[in-house]
Amino acid sequence: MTASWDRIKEVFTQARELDNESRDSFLQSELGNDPEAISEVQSLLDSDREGHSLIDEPTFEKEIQSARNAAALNPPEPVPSTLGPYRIERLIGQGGMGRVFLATQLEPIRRKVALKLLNTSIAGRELERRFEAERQVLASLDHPGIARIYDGGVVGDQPYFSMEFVDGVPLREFCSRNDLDLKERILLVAKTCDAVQHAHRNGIIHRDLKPSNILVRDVDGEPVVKVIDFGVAKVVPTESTSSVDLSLHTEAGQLLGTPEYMSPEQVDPSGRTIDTRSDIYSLGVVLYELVTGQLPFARPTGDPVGFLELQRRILKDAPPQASEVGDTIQELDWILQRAMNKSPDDRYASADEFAGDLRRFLKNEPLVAGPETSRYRARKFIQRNRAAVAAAAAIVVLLVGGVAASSWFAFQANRERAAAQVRVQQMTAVYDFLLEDLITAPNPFVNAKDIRVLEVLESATAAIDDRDLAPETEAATRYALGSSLSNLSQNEAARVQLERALSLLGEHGDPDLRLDIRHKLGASYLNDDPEKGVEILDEVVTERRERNGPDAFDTLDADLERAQAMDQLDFDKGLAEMQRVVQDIRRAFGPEHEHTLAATVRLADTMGRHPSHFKEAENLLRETLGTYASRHPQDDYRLVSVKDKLAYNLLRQGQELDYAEQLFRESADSFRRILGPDHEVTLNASHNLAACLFALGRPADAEVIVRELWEQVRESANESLPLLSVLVNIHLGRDEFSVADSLLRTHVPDRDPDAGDLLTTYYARLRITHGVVLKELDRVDESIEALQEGIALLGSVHGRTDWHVQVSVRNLCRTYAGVGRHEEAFAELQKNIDYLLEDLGPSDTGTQPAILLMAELHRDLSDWERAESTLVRYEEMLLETEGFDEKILAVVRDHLETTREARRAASLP
Amino acid sequence: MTDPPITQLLRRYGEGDQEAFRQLLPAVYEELHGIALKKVGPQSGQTLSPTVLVHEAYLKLFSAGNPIRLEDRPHFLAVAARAMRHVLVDQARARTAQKRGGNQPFVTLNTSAHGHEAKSEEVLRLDRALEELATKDPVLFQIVELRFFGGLQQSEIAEIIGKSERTVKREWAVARAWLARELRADEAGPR
Repeated sequence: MTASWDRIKEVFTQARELDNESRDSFLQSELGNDPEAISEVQSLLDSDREGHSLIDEPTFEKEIQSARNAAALNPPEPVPSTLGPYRIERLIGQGGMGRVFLATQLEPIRRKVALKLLNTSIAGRELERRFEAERQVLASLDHPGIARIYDGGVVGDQPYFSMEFVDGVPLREFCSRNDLDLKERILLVAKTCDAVQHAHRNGIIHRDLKPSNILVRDVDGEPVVKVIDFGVAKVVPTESTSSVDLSLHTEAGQLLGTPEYMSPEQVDPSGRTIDTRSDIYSLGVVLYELVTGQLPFARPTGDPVGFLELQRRILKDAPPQASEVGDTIQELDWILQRAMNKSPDDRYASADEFAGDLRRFLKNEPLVAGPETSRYRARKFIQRNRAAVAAAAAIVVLLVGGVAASSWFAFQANRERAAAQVRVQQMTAVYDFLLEDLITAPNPFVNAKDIRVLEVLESATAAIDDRDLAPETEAATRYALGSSLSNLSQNEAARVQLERALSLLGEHGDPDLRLDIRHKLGASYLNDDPEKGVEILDEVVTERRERNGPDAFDTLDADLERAQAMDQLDFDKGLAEMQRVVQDIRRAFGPEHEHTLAATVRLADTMGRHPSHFKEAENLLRETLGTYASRHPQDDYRLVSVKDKLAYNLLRQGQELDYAEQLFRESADSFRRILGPDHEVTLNASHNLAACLFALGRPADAEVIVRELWEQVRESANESLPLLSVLVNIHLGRDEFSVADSLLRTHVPDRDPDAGDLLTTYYARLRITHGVVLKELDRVDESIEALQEGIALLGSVHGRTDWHVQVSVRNLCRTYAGVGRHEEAFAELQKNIDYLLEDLGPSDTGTQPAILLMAELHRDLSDWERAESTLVRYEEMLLETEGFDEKILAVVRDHLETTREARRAASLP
Repeated sequence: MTDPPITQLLRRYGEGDQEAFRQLLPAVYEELHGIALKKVGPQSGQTLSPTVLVHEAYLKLFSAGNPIRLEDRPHFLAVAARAMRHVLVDQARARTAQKRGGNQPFVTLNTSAHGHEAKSEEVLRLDRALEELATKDPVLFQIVELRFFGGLQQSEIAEIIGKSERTVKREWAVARAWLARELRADEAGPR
């Protein structure tokens, strides 16, 4: 290349001006003898056409420009004397985008206006867009607290708009000039909130609220507030503004504003989304300044910049309490803490809510805002202990809700108002107690990583003694605790609390509370001593009927509880009772009422305990699912749990497994969202999904799910149990007994005596599975030990005649018989047959297999006499049973026939 | 009491003392770098966003401590542009080093809420291309620097480099095409 760089530049510059066709010949004529130079110019022309994003959209050029503007490096523009129909009087304001003048509109009507002119010397298309956007924003607002727009457009090349001239004084000056007292100042902020609420309702966030943008004017002795300068406002989508101009962003506009009033999310360099609650924060700062006389975060005196320090403090520091800085009272601290919370979620949800609290404060009414400390601590605690607290919170809500409902009944019954008020006070005390001692107590739970509700309750129990509570309040509190313990199957501990609550109340204590307590007390006996439970609940039902009427929910709820206790004693009778009560509830509240649906699900749960009622349970669940699905969103807990129950029911029946799979998938997904991926209920649903896939003959699909989940939870002893059982089953399916054994030995933790029902169930099932594995490995003694432990535990949770328990019992008996320990097999089996006959009666698909096994074991020993007499006696029992199951009888007769034939065959020489 | 050093040097530079420019640069750089380091030290695991740095820097440099005469402003802006480029590039280097091997948590640079992301990689790529341009054509280089890192208008640039606005416009077009080509080549792979 012979041409110099300067020459190339020159040719390039000239060629650039030409059109494509003439370029080639131009290059030829200029550089014809230098092909290298031609291609150099050519490539520059190419890249001139293509450009490059780094150059054409430079990242910081704009920022640097706006920073320079902020630093006021641009010489002031000359002030025009007229613009269109406006005569400009004087400069009244200057902002990032332009200047505002007081002007007189001369026609069509003569009036004073505020005329805003875009600063054309620095304006690019971006600024023009923003200027236009501000005009649009103002045009969409119509509120006495917001300056109205009149007109706008471009004269020459000067964009402008005119708006209502507010002959007011900036908020801060207005307050000091008129020496306003605290109440008057607060009222002004409340009025500002009203105007801001109007903007928010129209999808507009102001983003630069500060005293100088809030003008106040005296109108007939009444201060009127006007919010001005929507120059950095942002438009967000709302229902009413469908065509949203999201380009209404400010470039570095936020930083051009006044950082002292900016919300943490506005100054946050990580660029969090800004919504209307950012304005709430700024309004909080305005209030703070007006009531204390100083800013919550001020820049160090004498430092004109210090933005970064300010940013850090806005993001991290708590402002000094207003009550310490200024002469205010504590409630105002709460309001300020709420408004100026670092987290938008913890602020007032709207300017209306903020204004509401300010007006309540002025009228000495209770506030929405409360002391931040307990709220904050509660949140922190909840974040750390999500699962445990979710459960505890659910209990709290249940309890408080329950007590509140009772007080409502008290009103309904037209009893003394005073008594009801006592109830409400108790409720509040209980709530405070639970909130403070259960959820926010600093020790010993706050640092515990995986705290269990039970531990919380135990500590709470101990804490009651330290509190000097009035007897009635202490009773209510102990009742709340006892209920929680009872819900967690800690029945003995629950009864201690409930009994103490009763004795604290005394015979003449509040009769409704006494009944509530006795209701819970009866329920606590459900598994341990159902007879006693039924006795207590009978009384509760009778008394409630008298007090509240037969159709009151309290009455029917206790009645349902009583029926459930009864079915522990006599399943069929209890079930019939439950069906009757559910009918009563349905009649009293209607078929689609929440009470009816909840009771129906409970009935289905009970039915689900016995295979003979699976089908009925299925129908009830389908019906309930339909109603819930039409009424609740996809992730509603009630809806999801009914899906899960129906899927489980179908799985156990082995029917419509494709539908069951779909339901399990949906419920697992929802549980994951509601409860988190690690929650035992979520894992349980995934586990069942895998089981369902097995049943569908898709072990590979199942294994994928199981292994995924296993990796997720294997480190966590309790949560891994459900998956472990499936994983073990995968290996069992491949006859890999040693692998299964080693998995079980490595990963089944020692039993936790305080574990809830679900985990205990898994532990028990794993022990039973381990028993099966050990039997296959010929380690019979260990096998028997595992089966016995599993059966005992499973029975303690699900009842001695539970289907799974009985299957396992028969497995145990076969194991005994397999190694010649027939005496033990017979003893175990006989014991269970007695339970079955007692609880379920002879004509039950649960009882039948046990008796058939008994006959089978006798037959194996060639004890024809006993084999036959077992079956004959059973046949007689069946025939004596009213409405016995014909199918069962047929099977028994079939077995009897087989036995007799075998006997005849054996007696032949 | 004499004027603060930056102001003095600026005055000398404005009077045609090129040596003052060389002395001015480190002073301004120190000032800018000081802001960057003091506010978010290397150990904090945070990096300063250009938006914040730029605002902070300009406010600081033009604050009452450094009174700048109207006629000195373009010169000062030239110095500031150079210093700004050095600070941004140094920061970008530090960040990419962290990203590659250091154990500092990497915090992305994006700060403006509306997506003008200044990625350190981009800063470095632009700087590599600029370095090359500086050896090839110092005037083009200066125009780009003033424009990108000083945020200067064409008229100001013209005043600083002592050429007409029309020339600045023409030279800019060349610089733009040349840079676009180099950046594209850089993207295609290291040469």
